[in-house]
Amino acid sequence: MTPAAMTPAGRVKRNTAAATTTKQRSSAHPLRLRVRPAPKSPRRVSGPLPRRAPARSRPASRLSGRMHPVQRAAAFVRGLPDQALLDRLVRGRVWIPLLGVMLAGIVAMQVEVLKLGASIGRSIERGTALQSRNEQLRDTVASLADDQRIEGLAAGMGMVMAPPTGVGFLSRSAGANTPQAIANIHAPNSQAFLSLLSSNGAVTGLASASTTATAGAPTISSTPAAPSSALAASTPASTTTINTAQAAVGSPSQATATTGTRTPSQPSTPTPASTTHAAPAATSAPAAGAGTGGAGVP
Amino acid sequence: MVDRRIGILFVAFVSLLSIALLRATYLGAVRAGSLRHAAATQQVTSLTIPAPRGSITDRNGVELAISQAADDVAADPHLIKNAPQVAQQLAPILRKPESTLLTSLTKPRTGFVYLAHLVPADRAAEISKLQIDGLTMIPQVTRVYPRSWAASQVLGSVGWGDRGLSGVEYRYDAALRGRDGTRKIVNDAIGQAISIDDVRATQPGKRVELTIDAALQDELEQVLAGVGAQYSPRGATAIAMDPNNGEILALANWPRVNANDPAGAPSYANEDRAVGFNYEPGSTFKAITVAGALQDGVVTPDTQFGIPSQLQVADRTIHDAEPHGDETLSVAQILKVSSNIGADEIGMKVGPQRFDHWVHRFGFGAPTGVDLPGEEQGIVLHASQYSGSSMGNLPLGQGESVTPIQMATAYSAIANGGILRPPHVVKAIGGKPTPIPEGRRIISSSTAAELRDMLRGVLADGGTASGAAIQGYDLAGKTGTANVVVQGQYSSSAYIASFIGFVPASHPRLLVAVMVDEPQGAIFGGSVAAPAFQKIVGWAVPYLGISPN
Repeated sequence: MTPAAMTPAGRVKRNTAAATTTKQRSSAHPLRLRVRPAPKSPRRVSGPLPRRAPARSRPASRLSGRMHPVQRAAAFVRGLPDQALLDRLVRGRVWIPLLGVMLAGIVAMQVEVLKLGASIGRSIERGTALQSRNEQLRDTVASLADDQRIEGLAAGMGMVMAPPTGVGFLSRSAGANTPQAIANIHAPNSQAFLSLLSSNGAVTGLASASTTATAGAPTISSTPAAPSSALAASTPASTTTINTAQAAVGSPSQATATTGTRTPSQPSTPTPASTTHAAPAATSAPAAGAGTGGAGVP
Repeated sequence: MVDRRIGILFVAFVSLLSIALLRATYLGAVRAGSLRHAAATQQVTSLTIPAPRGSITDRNGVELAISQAADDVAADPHLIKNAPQVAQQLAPILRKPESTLLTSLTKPRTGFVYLAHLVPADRAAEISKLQIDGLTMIPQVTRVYPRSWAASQVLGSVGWGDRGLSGVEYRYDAALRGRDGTRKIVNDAIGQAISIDDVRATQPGKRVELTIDAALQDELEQVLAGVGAQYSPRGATAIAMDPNNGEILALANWPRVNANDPAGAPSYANEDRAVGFNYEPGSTFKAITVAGALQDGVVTPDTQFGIPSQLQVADRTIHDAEPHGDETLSVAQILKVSSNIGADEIGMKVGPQRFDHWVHRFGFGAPTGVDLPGEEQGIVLHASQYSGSSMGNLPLGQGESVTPIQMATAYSAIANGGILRPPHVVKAIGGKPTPIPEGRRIISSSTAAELRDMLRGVLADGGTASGAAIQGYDLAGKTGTANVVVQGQYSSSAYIASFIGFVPASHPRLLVAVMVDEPQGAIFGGSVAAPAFQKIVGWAVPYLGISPN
């Protein structure tokens, strides 16, 4: 609130009042001159001023060198308000837009922090989701790599494990076996393998191939070398591996029984009884000389 | 006039400021507690993030048990607006009857009801997408066994609260369990998360790597499944070990149990019979008798014994499995044909005190120290408790109870040259290998070698397991056929057939023990358990890279 005395009207009133008071004083009391006493020191004599000895000023560096750094800092701070540069800076108009920009920057920073927080949150959620997905995939990989599942699929394609007694070993020195062993080595059929991939290993799609392979099994066991090529020609699913496995089992009914997906309660492994039946066929196979090197399969 | 207006404005501003100050003081001081709580509940959510349990893998990194994110689905019936419609939407996702869900969603006088537990993350995400008010998803972790039936009794199970209940899950619960984390979520006015902060990071459990080989484990289980299908036993157990370091390469039990549904199997099937089943070993124990006799120097492999057709020991008459007249057999032949009378004669030559010493020396009557829970220690008498007829049946494997893992451990000592070492099933925890348990020498390496050589004869022509031989491989082992004790008497119809063997006989790398409890149709170890041994070893030797002779 502005005081009344400071308004223009008030100032006029005040000046008028001051003038009136002065006049009243001068008319009421006669003028009195005040006489100064004479100075005690001798008056100045005319003539040139005597030369004063120059004041002994201390060198600045020496002065500051004697001051403690804290004292120097304090002195600098004390003298700061009197600095001309600071004065110009503080009184300048540049501060207005500068402060505005800084305030806007602070607000923008806050917004960015919030955005970052939200982004981090989303990343954490995404990380959690990916971790969960990763665990599901690990589960799937472990399930798909299950040996029993793979053996079940292989059984569906007509491949079964040779029983322990169905594996024979030939001596390297047995020269008569070497040509047969070499003849039994076949290059893998890439087309047959690729045709299997197209069905993604599905058992259902390979039922016919499995049946064909099963039907050919007895022939294989009698002539180990020929049937592998015959089978390879007749069905893409047939490979040398199928040939040897079929020969080892040597029982069409057993091979048929292993077709299909196996459940844990229905193992595709031949039961001991079936193995016993399969053994003679398998053990007779080595005589045909189907071995390759020292560890051939009959 | 102007001053008056200015004065009025001044008073008005001051009044407004005073009111605002009073209101702020009221909200900030008087109602501070309730408002803070309201803000915390409406805007800030604190979630407990369960730590994933460490996975269990086989020795090659194959996942046998893993943890997966799941959610418990809960609802606040007060906030559910259209319960029938919500039930209809949730029923196919939660795979629950609509009526059941509707009953839960309309439950009176409650603000919280569970709709489903441990719903897989993908299905929980489907529920979240429905954006139904009043539903809450509570994060949990569920245990999954990708190879449902593989090694389920070894792995064990996990119960409520992520606590291991049996098997490795129980034994190594402390390592497998992690530390739950805490997550603070700040929501905006419309409930969208603007800040998610992990106040305490979730610390996952450590990975436990087993010595089990998943492929060999599968083979053991398949073979036991075949035995189960053919002989319909009460149960069967097979153990595959590396005799040199005590690593259990596979351990299977029959009947099998789905590890993802252990409650679906009878309790006895969930038991790990390899460590928790006491049985009388029968003839497989004769190798222990002979080992003691050889080590004490009372016999050599060629020492001849006169074997009568029957032997009277106190009140017991001992017969051999096959009737025969008087004959002479060497120690090696006694093992080869599994002569009960011959084993008794060797045991008597050793004497009760030394026999008792050797039984305990081989670790019988005490737990082996295998790192699996629920291990039994068997029942073994001390020499002071022997009766007059004890030496008539103890040397041939009657009168003492052992566990399959004890027998496998004792035979491992014979196989590895005389060192008895606790078997173990865990290879590493959190990537750090567990130390191999220290062993102790119980017999000399020469005695062990002599014994291995004699055990070759069991699988040779004329041996009790000649049919279990594998062409090209040098096998050794011992059959066992033991009567089951029923109400204090040896049953004449219930038997336990077993076989323990190793390959190659000279420097064994694989030991396999098979025990079949009360097989039907055949009873002898040589005809029931030995073929199973043959199949397992026949599969394992090329797999493990064991060369033929």
